[in-house]
Amino acid sequence: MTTASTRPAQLIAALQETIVGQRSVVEALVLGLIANGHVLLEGPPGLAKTLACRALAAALDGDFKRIQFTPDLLPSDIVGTRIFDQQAASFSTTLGPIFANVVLADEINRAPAKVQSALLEAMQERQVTIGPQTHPLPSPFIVMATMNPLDADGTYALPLAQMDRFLLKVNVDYPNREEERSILERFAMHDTPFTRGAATLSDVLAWQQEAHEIHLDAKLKNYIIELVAVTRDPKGNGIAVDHLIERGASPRATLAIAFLARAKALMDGRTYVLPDDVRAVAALALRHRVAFNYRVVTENVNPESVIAALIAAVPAP
Amino acid sequence: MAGRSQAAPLALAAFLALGLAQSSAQTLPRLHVPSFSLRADALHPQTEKPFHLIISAHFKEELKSVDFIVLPNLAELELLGSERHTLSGNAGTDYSETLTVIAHRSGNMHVAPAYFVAVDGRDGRPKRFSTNDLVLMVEGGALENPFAGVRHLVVTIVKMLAILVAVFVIAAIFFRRRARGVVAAPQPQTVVLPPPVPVRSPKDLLREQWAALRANRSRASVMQARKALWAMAGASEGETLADVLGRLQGRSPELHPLLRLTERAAFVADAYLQGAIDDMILGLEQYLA
Repeated sequence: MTTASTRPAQLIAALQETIVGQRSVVEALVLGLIANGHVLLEGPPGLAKTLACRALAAALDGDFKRIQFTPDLLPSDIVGTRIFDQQAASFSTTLGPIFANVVLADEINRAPAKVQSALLEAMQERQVTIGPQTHPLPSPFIVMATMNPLDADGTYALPLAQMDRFLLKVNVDYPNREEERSILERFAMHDTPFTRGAATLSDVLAWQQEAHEIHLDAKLKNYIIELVAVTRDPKGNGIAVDHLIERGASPRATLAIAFLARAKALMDGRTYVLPDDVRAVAALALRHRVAFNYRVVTENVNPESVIAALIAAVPAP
Repeated sequence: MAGRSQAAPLALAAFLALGLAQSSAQTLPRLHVPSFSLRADALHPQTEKPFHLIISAHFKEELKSVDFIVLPNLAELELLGSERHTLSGNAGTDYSETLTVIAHRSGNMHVAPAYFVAVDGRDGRPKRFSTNDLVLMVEGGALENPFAGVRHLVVTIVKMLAILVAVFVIAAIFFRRRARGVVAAPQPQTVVLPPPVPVRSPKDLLREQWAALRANRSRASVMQARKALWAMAGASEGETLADVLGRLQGRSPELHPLLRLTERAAFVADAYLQGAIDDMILGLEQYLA
């Protein structure tokens, strides 16, 4: 097994030099990186979602590409296309912006379904086929997609099946006053300072390999199964939220919690997962996989509190 | 425009209907829960004889009703009825629910805790509040013991004989003293107290678990010791290390490293279990010293 020369904590520290506060967002990005999964970020504009992704790419010394999703975007704008070279009388392939280590899909819900599908397929397969040739995507490869919940007009909501492809979803919230003061002092007069080379791409690959070796006890596997099961039958677990839930989480959520819990243990410098790790990551893996119905709106219920209640209802081992 | 004018009353009607539905909204209550317990009025109940399980809770909030408590799983006990009392006022709400149950077989029976999920008023986080569980030793009744009737008859006869003997002895003493004409000075009565029942503190229980762990270095022993440690910190089963540390809020700092060692022994890979148990035993020794 390859051993990384740096630890994830060093990467987090480097990111925190650029991003003020938002510790949970930074940790979630690194968790996604270690667990080799893609991240969905949701929050109002101006909350450093893009900055966080750029800072991550800079800290890794990896390639970073940003794709601004718009209604007129085409799949070839993302994956690439074949162009006919008249002089050579042959087709040459131009690779799209998806060929990067860190890809920021900004406002993913602004593009129509066929573009979303092209991206999500590439995310799943980790390769792109253009014409007769298949091109593998670079490794590590992480897509961070942002969604703005405020301007819903003219957007194409991601179907649940496509949301399921994201390993985790992070809700980005406003900074507190102290953090806002730091933002003012740090960014008002200077360009954004990026810390470069806090870790290497090979470190990330080594972390991903190490995470697979993290021990997940049988009691914790049962705990994960129960956490997912409670989303499908809340009433059976004493939570009266059945009327709010359309559909519970898929088995992909079970795998996601396990991957993320292992990544969390690695991030905290342990070789074994604790119940706290599972509980800490459960909401990240469940919040976009549980389908709520219209009653959460009509009854003014915060879906986050429902997810928190479901997690709290399952006793930890 | 015509379509829009027709749609407006429909939307209003739908809004009103949804407003009515909103009244049945069930969100998590925010509660302070100083006590929540489960007990039985007989720890050694008999088969086919009804007894009671009593769930009690006190909430600091004044609640109109307490209908969110999930009653314990009674397993092999049959529920005959239940009676709920709720008393609420400025001092909070007292809740008591008495379940009348009956056992159909003898032996040990486990009654799982009652629980509910609410937002903890202390820290604003949703939590699962649980009572203690109960282990009842159900003893065989007349139906299970064919000699129970005979034994009852013998016991009754012996009791009656004892009463007759006592009356005879008292009468004999009375007449003898009367014959002598001597009135004896009253003698102080010697009260024989039952031997004191040793009260085991949580630390005693932990010491027992430490000895058990030394004797049997297994994951099961680790989990038993962990349970005792959790109880020492005032935490119940189902809580995580972060919950327990949060519950301690900086108190008992000597307990913190021991809790972490125990957590490691509980969840580390089998290959590292013995080393983790060594560390845990050492930590327990230092704590108990």
